[in-house]
Amino acid sequence: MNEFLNALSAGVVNASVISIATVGFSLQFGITNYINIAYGDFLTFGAFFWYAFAVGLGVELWVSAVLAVFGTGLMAVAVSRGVFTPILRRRATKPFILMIASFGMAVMLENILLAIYGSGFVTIPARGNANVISIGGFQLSGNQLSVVVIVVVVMFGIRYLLTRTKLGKAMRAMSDDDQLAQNCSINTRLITDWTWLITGMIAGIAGCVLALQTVNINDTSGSSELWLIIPASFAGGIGNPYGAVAGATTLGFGIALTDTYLGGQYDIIVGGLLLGAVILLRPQGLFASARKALV
Amino acid sequence: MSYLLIVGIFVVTNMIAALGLNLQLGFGGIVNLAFILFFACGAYFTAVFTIGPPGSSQDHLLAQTYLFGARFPWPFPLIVGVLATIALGYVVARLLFRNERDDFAGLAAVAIFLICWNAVGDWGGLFNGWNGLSAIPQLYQSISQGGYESQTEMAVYLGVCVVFAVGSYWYCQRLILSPFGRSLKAVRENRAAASALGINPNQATRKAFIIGCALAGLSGGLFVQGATVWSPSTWALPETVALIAAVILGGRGNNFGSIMGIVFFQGVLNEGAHLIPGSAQNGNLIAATQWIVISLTTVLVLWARPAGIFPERKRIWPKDIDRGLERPDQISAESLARSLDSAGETK
Amino acid sequence: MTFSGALSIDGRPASRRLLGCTGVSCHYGGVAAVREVDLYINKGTCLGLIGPNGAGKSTLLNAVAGSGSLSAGQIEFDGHAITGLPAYEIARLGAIRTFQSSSEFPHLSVMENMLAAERYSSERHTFEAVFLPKSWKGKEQKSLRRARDYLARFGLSHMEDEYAGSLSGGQKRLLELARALMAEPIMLLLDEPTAGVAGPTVEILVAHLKELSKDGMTILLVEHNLQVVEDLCDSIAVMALGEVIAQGTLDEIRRNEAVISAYLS
Repeated sequence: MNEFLNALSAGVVNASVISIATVGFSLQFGITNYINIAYGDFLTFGAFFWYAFAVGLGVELWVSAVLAVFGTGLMAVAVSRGVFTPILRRRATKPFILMIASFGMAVMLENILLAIYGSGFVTIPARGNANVISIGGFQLSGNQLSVVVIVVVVMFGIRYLLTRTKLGKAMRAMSDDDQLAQNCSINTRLITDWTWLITGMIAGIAGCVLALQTVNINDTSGSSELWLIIPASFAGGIGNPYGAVAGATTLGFGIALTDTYLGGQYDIIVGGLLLGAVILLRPQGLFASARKALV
Repeated sequence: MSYLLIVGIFVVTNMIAALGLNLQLGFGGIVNLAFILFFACGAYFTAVFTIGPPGSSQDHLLAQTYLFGARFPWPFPLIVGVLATIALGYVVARLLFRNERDDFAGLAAVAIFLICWNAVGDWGGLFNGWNGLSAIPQLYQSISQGGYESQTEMAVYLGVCVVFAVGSYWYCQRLILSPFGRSLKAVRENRAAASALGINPNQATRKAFIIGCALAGLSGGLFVQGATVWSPSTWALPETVALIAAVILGGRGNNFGSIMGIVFFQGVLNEGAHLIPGSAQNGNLIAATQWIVISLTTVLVLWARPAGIFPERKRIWPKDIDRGLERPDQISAESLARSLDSAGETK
Repeated sequence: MTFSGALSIDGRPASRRLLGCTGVSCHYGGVAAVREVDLYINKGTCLGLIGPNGAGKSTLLNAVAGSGSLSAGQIEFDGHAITGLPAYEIARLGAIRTFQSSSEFPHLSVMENMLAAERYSSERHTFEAVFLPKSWKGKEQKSLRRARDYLARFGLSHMEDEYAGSLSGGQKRLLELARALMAEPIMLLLDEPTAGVAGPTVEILVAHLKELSKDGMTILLVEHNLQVVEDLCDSIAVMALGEVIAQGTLDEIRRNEAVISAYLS
């Protein structure tokens, strides 16, 4: 029983870590209507920005984290404006062209880090709170609890953004019908910039959380998470940030249970099974309607 | 000299892979970001049927574990490699083409790739995990069961690869100029309109996908006997970008362009990277620069000239098909048209 | 040019039902775009489907053509039950549709567009395509001649080698029609063929359609342009809010109260 509870708490942590990234990934697709495979590398950049500020420049640890989050957001906007928008504006670009471009960006970003930092691991000296806290039967460390709290805050933040703010409503309009939104004099370019800034910042948060969890990071840390992010977002319905959390949670718990009872090397089966199930049973995801959905 | 031969083998086998990718991406509009998975499938299956049972390899210090393990003479392992890749292609095709959107399939492909890649790495019993297979016998070794290959034998192998490359080029050209090629392009252009004319879009796409994968498997199987080693690090996700870059730069939907794209990236780029200052000390810098150039080129081409250097050729037919027919009283198209027009006027 | 099966012994179009929709309903996420529609078209006739925007005309056409979401009802075509069949199979049975927005294959030449519609294109296996060219090269030559005949008839001969995407709007419509004919249809399903087309081209299109009709082609025509409908159609069905509210000749329709209120409201 203890084992099971341990598995569950590990599951909660897994789910939280994956959730943040998946939410950002899904949200970005939901609003801009094209998939960005380089998102995994945004995570890596988040972690490396933190390292650069904290270790490279000696800025205080948690200030560095905040700077890293903003830095990642700005980088995302730069990528959007510099790479995707120019290609998109060019005649009638099919969605898969943008996908190939994002694939190219993923490789480029990863290798920029490789060129600067080499392929070895770097460590961010964040000890955080290692105290173990018991809630009910669950045992979580302070770090892990903070991660869960961050996820909850992010999710509520997004919900607030989308339902209560003018920006959020404009984002939803754009996701529903780009052309119509433009006709209603919504400045889609500005909304796109904001979308990338926000989802980029979410990636930055996810990257820092990842660095906290895995301690050592290298140039492939972020893209290594893609095999979790993609099935989770498929399961939740691509473009649906709320479904993303559900998908990530399923995956997180599945992996935790597999780890406990079968051994760590079988994690991938969970990802594979989830992906296979969603693809075969409902290609548009469990939570989406026929088109992409941003509720 | 033998270095050039090895490079030659790498370049030629990559050409075959590029032709397969061009069939999928250029002619079929299929974004198969998991392409290198099929290359790897061909490589692995060819390797395990060449290398002999585990523990029997020439270098007994390597304790490799893998599936199957037999020592068949060439070309049987290659045939097995291609067949295995076709089977894998069939399965993946069933998973990918279920939605109208091309990019969902691309995303699913990435996920499928990562899962398979991690599985092969983590589960050592399959193909010796992250360390991969090594001491894979080259062509002459597997036939003669002898020692290491001489330069002549390597040159022969290069010749064999060239033969396969020429054959693949011929095949792809014939395929795309046929009615099937037309159907495939129609589906790429406008899926709904193609269906409305009686073309089964899923079937056309699936067939192109599987043939493309078969070519990937063929090139992998040929490559691995030149390289003699094969591990997950050699077929990571970015490797597909290298092939995509060649096809996009060379020209989507142009087989000649794909060949030229490979020549540029493998030939020019690989060698040029060694000229970067400081590269001798920092091996990572060479690799990183090469990848940055590859990905940057891809993005730039997609922005500046999406069709590539050699764009897809427009198909037109000769006008004078009616001359030289056996029956001299056959009406020519123009006179038939004229009679139709005049018939229209009297109505 | 006449179309097979359209004439009976005395030379007049045989009056037999070619298309029958019974109780057809289409739902889009809870909204019924088409409700329990019964619609029948006899061979050799042209039925016009008109109605205000959102009436469900295109939805019904999509359902018949196999690309819509049919939630209830049966559809029969040429003696075959086609309910739930995919679009390409319905097309192979001889019901060829056109689209509201231009649906040419833009990066292929006009001739290649035409040849893509040839029946044997879809049935060729890849083995024969590569290794047995003799099995299809002869047919390709025949199709080439057929295609040139059609292009000449529609006044597109001089554009044969051009990219279909570079054609003008009107030319694209004509190409679509010519291409549809290449597929050897026994029935045409036309979704607003004159939408977005300039005046003179509309007349050319209508002239061609009239000729096809005279030669015995069965046509289902969804249209907003009542003049076109008047010129071409033997009978008309009016749809509003997903239902067929009236059916008959144009005069009968004009006098029908339900129709008048539907158009005025």
